[in-house]
Amino acid sequence: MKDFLRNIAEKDLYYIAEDMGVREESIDRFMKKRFMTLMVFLFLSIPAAIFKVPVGIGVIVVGVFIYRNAYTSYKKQYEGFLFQREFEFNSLMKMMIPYLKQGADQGEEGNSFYTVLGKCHRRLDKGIIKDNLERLMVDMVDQPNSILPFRRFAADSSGSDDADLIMLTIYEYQANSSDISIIDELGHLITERMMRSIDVIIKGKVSRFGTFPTVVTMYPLMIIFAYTIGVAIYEMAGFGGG
Amino acid sequence: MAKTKRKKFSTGELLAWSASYGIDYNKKDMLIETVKHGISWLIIVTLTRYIWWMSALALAGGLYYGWNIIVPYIVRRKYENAAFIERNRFINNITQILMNDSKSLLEAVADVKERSTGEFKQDLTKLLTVMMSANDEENSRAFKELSDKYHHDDRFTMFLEQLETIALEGRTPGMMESLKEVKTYHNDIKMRRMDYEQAKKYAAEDMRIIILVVLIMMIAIALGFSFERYAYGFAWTLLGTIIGNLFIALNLNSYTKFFKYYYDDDIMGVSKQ
Repeated sequence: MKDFLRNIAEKDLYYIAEDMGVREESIDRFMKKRFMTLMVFLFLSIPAAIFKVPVGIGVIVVGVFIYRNAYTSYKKQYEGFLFQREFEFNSLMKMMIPYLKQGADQGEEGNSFYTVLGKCHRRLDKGIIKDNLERLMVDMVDQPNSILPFRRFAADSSGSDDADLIMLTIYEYQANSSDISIIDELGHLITERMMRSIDVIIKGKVSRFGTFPTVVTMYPLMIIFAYTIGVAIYEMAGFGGG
Repeated sequence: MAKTKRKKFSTGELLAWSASYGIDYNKKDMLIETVKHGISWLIIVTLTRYIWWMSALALAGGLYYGWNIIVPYIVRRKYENAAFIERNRFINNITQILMNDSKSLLEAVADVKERSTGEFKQDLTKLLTVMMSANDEENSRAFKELSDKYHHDDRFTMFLEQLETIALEGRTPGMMESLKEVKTYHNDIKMRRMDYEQAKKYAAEDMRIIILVVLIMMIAIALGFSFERYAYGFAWTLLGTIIGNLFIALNLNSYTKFFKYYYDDDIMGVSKQ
């Protein structure tokens, strides 16, 4: 049964869940629920079709729609999650820059980077970036001088290529204590990203208003339609004597 | 009497309010806003159903909504705008003053403190007192406290961090450059906030026009033929109850959603509230 459900699931559903840190069992349950609901609708459509064929078809349509909708709303959740994660990642990067600059000014190396991470971790809100950062710090201790924890952090915290690039650069910087202009570059890169993400947020929030005029104009049409029917009935009732 | 009404705001807003930035939003404005919403709800319901007790409920609902939801939104907006301006002014002025070598950081903060008002001025006063005691550790703690308080404004906290470094290490050309950079970032945010607000104002204007049109439509529908036909043929029938109430529900839903989006001023994130 489980295999069947996994096969019929949308291709990226399990990938999405994994990215969000949701356990496979949860998705299996999600799929099961969806499927069962769909079956119920399909089942109900039979008596409905016996009653009136279009109603039966309508029931099937509604069932499929609900099935599909579960996926789309889940995907939407994922997009929100991605966005939030991206933003937190950028915030973390922003946080780190002044610390790193400070460290370079004072000529500290190596282990002070760990302290920097600690400071940032304390300031972060609860969330996936905070957890990933913890993991990075633990991994750094377990695998000193290894680049893997950094790349893993980049992959978990933001799928993007420049995240990987940023973490690589940071690794280079803290492993080889190279020059501060790299950090400056990094700083600019990150600020650009933040500004862009803010613009995206603003655009998104402004576009939300676009739906209102259409929707609000549509509602009265409903009334007009219903009213026409109502009045027609009323008038006919008058003539027919009730 | 003032105190009972204020209890309806969240404690955060109440505190902010009492540390007032000299905001000129008084009780009369609040009442006017509340009544506006009460009347809006009243109109929506009345023009659809013409049932007096539903209209009464609508009026009550609208008043409740206006007072408990919209007015706090407005208070929050005014507070956050005022607070943001204070921080922005602080950043710009301090950077300006520090470019001139003759003034110390302490003097700079003291000067800017005089130009601030309200809650932020109190924050600066506190900071200044600690800075004057010249104890490094307490200094750091004071800066951190201020950073934590405004942690949602991350460019401001960045700026504070730079300031703290300057307090500890003195000014270097490198630090001044970073300071100026952060100042630019913060000003960028200010610009974007204003753009966003403007865009929302346009959206609100559009809505006003649409609503006017819909209002006229509803009145025309009800009075077009004859009111009797509308009432008996529709508004007071079963059909009217179902469709009419659906209409009201949909409109109220759009209504509340609109204002929620309208008063969502946060450009730094997508809050779920």
